[in-house]
Amino acid sequence: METMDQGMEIRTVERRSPSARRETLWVGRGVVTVGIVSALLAGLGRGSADADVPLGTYQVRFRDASPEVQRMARELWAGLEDVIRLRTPKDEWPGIRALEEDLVGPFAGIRGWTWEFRQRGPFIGYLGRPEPGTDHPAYLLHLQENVPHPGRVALDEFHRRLGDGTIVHVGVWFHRAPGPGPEAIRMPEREGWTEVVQGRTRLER
Amino acid sequence: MKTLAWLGVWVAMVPAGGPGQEARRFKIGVTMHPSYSWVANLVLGTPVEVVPVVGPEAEVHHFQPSPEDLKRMADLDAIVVNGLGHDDFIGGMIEASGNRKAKIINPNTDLPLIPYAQGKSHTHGGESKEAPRRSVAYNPHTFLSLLGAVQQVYAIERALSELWPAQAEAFRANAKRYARRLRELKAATSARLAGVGTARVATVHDGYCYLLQEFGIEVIAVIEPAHGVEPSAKELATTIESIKAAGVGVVFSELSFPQKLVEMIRKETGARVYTFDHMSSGAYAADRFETAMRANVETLVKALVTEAKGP
Repeated sequence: METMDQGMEIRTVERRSPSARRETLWVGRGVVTVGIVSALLAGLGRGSADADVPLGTYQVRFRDASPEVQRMARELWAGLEDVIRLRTPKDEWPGIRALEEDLVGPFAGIRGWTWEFRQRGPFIGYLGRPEPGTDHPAYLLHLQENVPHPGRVALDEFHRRLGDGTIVHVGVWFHRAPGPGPEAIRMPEREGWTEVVQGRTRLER
Repeated sequence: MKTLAWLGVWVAMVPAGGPGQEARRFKIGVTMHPSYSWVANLVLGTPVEVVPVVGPEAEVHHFQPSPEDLKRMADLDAIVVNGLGHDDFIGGMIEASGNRKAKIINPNTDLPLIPYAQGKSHTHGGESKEAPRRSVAYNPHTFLSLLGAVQQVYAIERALSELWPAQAEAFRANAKRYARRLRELKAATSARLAGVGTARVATVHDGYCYLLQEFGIEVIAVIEPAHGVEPSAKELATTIESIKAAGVGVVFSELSFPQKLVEMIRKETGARVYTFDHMSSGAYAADRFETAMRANVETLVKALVTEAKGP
């Protein structure tokens, strides 16, 4: 019978304590790993409804806007659905009267603004000016046709697909004291308008 | 034999809406009463059946699925969800039912969401002066709203039209008719509330902010800390103080809120208390949403116009 010692070699192993530099390096790696994993977990934990996207200097998040701006933005986003559905196959956008007749808010039912329809080439605007003597902002539902879209466009709150497959750029804006200039319908941000954005990521439609 | 096998695979892979499947009856599940009404109106005249996932006897906030509920889900082609917290049970139910084909339709994906208890912050026009919040809980009650309903009906219509293109024209026409009816109710209510201006009210439950905002009504206090959770004595005292301080004369409650607390609020604040329908239980019906919302806006008009007192 063999004893345990038979065939076994006695080795001498010297274990040195790590240098201060190596130890710091390992601790650092650990901290970085924990940080990355925590960030990933935090990202996964947020629902799509709570994932913020960065804003431009001319934008305000819907949730941070005043109740009145929120109300009008909701009306305009809901109205946008009807504007798109009422656009004729001949590329004619509905005017204010057509929207009023269909009871589409805020063109019908909300007092305090006078609405006008403007179109300059591919730029379309539904502009609501507050009645004189009130301190409400002006509002603008802005659309741009012929948005270049090589390949597949991710439809988000700024891009909608029309019935014929065309992509339009859309936006809801407000301004405390808009000038009379027609340029607002081209590039609202250059005229001091503020865009209301939901600022959430959303699913592809 | 091999050809037959491939033919079988091909037949199984033809998507819903393919020419071979247009003749059969499709089934759409819904998790809530409003979405039942919306879908039932959208699919009028089409071979689509609407199936409530939660039985009429159950209450969506406290729903525990039974084996019978899972059975109902097994052959659904699509499910319309709230997706904002009201029907979190649905993911587990789909998994447990073994249904791998059902398309999930979330009509809230595009909707602007109001943060919870927004009424407690106070701003006037333009941007809020509050510091940006890092983490935001959004109010999921987009279904207690006429505008929210119009948007969700359109969103569901788009999804259904993609799934079953042969029925798209019917879905679209039905959506237009239904949205028109909701807009008529909203316009008529706006006209009746036209003289009210910016009214300020308190609510028992933070579920009516979407509806009230549509009529320019500001919620300055919410009594329940969470839905169905009674406020503590301290919380109730604080809310009563803020109602009194703001001079709020109207409180909107709901049927499930304890009557003794309603009486206490009425007595302590002098406010008139009215009750809204939350539409979270009872029989499913195509006209349920319209009936309940008609009653809710009638309550609103009664509270702010016909029974309003003082300047």
